Formats: sequence, structure tokens, C-alpha cells
Amino acid sequence: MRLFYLQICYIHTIRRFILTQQPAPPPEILTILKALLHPDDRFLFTNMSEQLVFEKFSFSKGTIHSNFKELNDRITIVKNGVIGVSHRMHALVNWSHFYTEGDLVFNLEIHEDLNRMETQWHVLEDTVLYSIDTNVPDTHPLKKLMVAFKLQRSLLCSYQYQHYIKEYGLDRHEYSVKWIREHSKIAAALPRKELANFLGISNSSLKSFLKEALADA
Amino acid sequence: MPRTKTEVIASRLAEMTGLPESFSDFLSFGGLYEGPFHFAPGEQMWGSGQKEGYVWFVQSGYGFDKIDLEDGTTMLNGMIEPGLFVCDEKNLMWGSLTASSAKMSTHTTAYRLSTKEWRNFIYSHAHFRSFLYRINAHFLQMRKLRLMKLKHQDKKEYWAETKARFPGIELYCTQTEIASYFGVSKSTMHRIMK
Repeated sequence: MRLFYLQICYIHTIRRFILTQQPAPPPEILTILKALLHPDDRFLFTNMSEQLVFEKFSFSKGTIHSNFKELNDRITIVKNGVIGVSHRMHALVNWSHFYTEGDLVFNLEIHEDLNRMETQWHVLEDTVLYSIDTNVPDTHPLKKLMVAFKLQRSLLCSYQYQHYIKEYGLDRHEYSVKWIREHSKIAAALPRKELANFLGISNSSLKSFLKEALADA
Repeated sequence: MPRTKTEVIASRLAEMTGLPESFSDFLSFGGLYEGPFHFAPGEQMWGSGQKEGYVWFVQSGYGFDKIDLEDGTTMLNGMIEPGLFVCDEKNLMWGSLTASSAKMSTHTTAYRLSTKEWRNFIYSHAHFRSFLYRINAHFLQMRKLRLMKLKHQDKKEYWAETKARFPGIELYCTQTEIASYFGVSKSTMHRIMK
């Protein structure tokens, strides 16, 4: 009974964040983790994956996070749900990307010491994250694997923005129609102006692209 | 007095991290680099589709790197300048074929370390690894800003900023390449540049 009370307090102090007991990782999460590693390091995963300790984090729809240090030094994957990432520039709030099922999530973009553009996570749907802590003692059997994960995490959190920059280099019409088709729920949830801003197109282009994307839906 | 390759690289790392140049990890890291390699204007430092990848350190010289896009086109990514560590990230992270290229615009001197050796070094030097995280955090902020500017900044204003940041860009890159940096068509870029 006392433990239950403590859990409730914990939930309240960290704003609807819930840390449950270790869940069994779905197989697709393991596949994503393995693919994150450099091919030369994947052998480390083969015999060790069963020893990985997962923690589950739940976010409620409508919450906003401008810092989430509980995910420092962790590898985190979206099990289900949607988190939108916004930044402030010239007094405007702009979306840069949306984390959806199977995406790796990096909290460095909202790290309290480094967050210079008021970057925030907006939970657009109830979201569940699976996470592993890469901080293990030097003598721990998973140490080498965790070092490999840490390095990839460090590189990938910067590279992910390069990926978004690259996406912006693609033909706007083709890209926008494809994105709306693949993320119709997110597209429907965003105000039109914000969606047009995110896709880097005018409101009138959005109108015709939406029509085209949803025509075959 | 001329400085050795190791000293030049260690000195740059000290500048980036605020640690002393004599920090043993910096000297060991610098010592691993091969070179110098010299490039004439117009020569590639690396090309797209290459199996072998390197983390380059540019001691002197300027150039530009381009990234391959999914649709088969390329996008101008940024300027390569003295003091920069630069590489094909896809190759570094997953050992894939390089998906970018770098062409030097002026006479260049650079050193290189294979991505495999780079990883081995990082794995065996925990202290060095912790700085890398900090450096990557800095790159993340730069890219965040670049993405937001690309999407939302007034293009004329962004062009003026870019010319100041990359002096001579219009001499070394084609208008099509510059247009790709701004995510606009060649004709729109022509209007902006006028």
C-alpha cells in the first residue's frame, strides 16, 4: 500500500510521466536497436539482447515538454503515439519533425543547457516509449554494447537534423503529398497554417496538395 | 616554427573543447591521422559512392560539400574551411557507401583518419568520447538553426547572411547548387541573387 502511495507521488512530481516496471520488449524494438548499431558492432547485440533492461515511459496527449532529463544517456524508441517537435524562430512556432512508431527519440534537442530555440515536445497522441539506460559500470557484461549505443546515439541525434534538411531539398509537391498520405492523422490534427509552415509551402499549395493526397485515400 | 600534424590537430581540439593542447588523448588522436594530402582547386576530397570513408581534418583551404538526396539530385550542404573535421556521416555511422562529396575550391592541405580507426579510438578513450557528445550537441544546434532558416527565413535575408558566411560562394558553386542550399528553384534563386 505504501509503495502505491509513493508511485502516485512520483507521477505527480514529474507531470504525468509514468515509470512502470520493466516490460518485455516487442521484437520490432530489438530489430530497431540492432539496426542502430554499426554493422561491425552488431555481433555485440546477438548474445546480449536478452540482458537488456527496458523501461517504459508514458506521455499523455496534450502535454508539452521543454526538457526531459530522465532520458539522458538513454536509447529511446516510440512504441506507439506521436510527439511533435517545435522550435521558436522570429516569434513564430515551427514544427520540424514528428516522432511516430518505431522512431528513435533524442532528448538532446530539448536539453536544458543546450536548448537555444525553445524547442519543445508536444504530445499529440498518448505515447509510449521504450528506453534503455546506456550507463552501466565498466565491469558490466553489456558495457561494450552500451558504449557502441552511446556513440551511435551521439552521432545520430545530430545527423537526424541533417536528414530533415535533406528532406527539404526534395521536390515540395511530391514530398508534401507523400508526407500527408503517410501521416494523415498528424496532418488532420495540425492547424492548416502550421502544416503549410512545416511542409514549407504556401496555404494555397497546401489546399491543392491535400486534395491530391486525400483523393485516393 | 612549423608545427607537426599531431600538434595542429591537438591544438584545434583544445580550441574546440577548452582543454589543454597537451591532453594525452588529443595527441594520440592527432598522431593517428595520415597525411598531409594536398588538393588543387577543383579536386575532390572525397566522392559519392565510395566504400572507404575518412574523418578529414582541414588545415588550410576552402571547399564545399554536397549531399545526395533520395530523388537522385544533390544538395549543397555547406562550406569546408580550415580547422574543420568533416566526413560522410552515413559511412561513419553505418559503414555505408558515401552519400556525399566534397570538392575543394582553393589549394588545400588536409589529413585523414579511416572511420574504422576513428571508431576504435573513440571506443577505447572514454574521456575523449564524452567531449564528442558535447561537440555533436553543438552540431545539433547548428543544424536546428539551419533547418529553421531553410524553412522560414526570408530568402533575401538568408542569401545576404550566407554570402557573408561563405565569401565567394557564387564564384565556386553553380546557381543550381546554391538554389539547392536554399530549397528554391534556379529561377527563384536568380531573382534573389539579383
